[in-house]
Amino acid sequence: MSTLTEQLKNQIIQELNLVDINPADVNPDAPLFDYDGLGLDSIDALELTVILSKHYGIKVTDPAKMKQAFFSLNTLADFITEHQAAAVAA
Amino acid sequence: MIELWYTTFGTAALPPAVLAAYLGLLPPAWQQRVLACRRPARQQAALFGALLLQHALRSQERSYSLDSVRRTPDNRPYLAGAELDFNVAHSGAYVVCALSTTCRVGVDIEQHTRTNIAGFRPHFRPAEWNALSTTDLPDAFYRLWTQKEAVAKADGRGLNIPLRDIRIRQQRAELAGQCWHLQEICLPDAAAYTLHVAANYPLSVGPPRRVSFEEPRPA
Repeated sequence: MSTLTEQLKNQIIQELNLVDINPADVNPDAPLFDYDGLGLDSIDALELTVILSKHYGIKVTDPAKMKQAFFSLNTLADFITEHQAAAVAA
Repeated sequence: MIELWYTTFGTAALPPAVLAAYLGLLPPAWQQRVLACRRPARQQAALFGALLLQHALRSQERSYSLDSVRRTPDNRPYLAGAELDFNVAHSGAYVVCALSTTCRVGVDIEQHTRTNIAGFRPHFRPAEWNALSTTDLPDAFYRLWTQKEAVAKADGRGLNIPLRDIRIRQQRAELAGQCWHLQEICLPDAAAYTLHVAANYPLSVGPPRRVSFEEPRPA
């Protein structure tokens, strides 16, 4: 698991108060919103956008457009990496 | 009329023998779905959601089985070949199921666990956010949220609908030209929760019926 993915995992568990999760058991490729992954719900999608804004300076106004990025911890880390690379290049 | 059932559950993992006994009440495919849940709280919600839906379907004049439940490409459950619609939601220690034989329904329940909601502001229209009474936060936010979520779930596209596209006006909502009727329901002993039902027809929601699933005896 990359450093960014690990960091994201800890931020999500802490800020969404997922007290029934052992961080060591989280598969970074598991679906964030499916019952067999982290089992997040739609209001948690808003929380993810707050994490992106607060920790990574990424503003998301429409979670509906984040379906791919919000699929798993790894896809979310990829989204952040691409966003940061684009910001540096600009 | 729209029928509404609810039940409550604990968030700690069930002892294996108790879980197995409850699972024995469900069809095999639904057992697998419950067992695949990684989080104990999520597993309890899936288990009691399935039991509650099964109870609701069996209570109909023509009893239906969970085996007839299918999912749309957007993952919305529906009953194949039946003139009825249902929707299930959970939050905290509650799971609810709404069912109608005459209209499309969506339901959402949310426990008031968040006190800082300022970060959610960009997802809402300025007018609707400004209309949230500052003295009534976060309760007012949860009313707005469950209204929109109930409509998104009735529509069936859920998270794929931009929240701003659902316009709330009093107890009605509009989404892409479709009008939805909203009703807030208060569950007994659930002061820290907000619950809304959305329907594409102005039907009233019947009194919520509590269902208790006694721990089944191991086989």
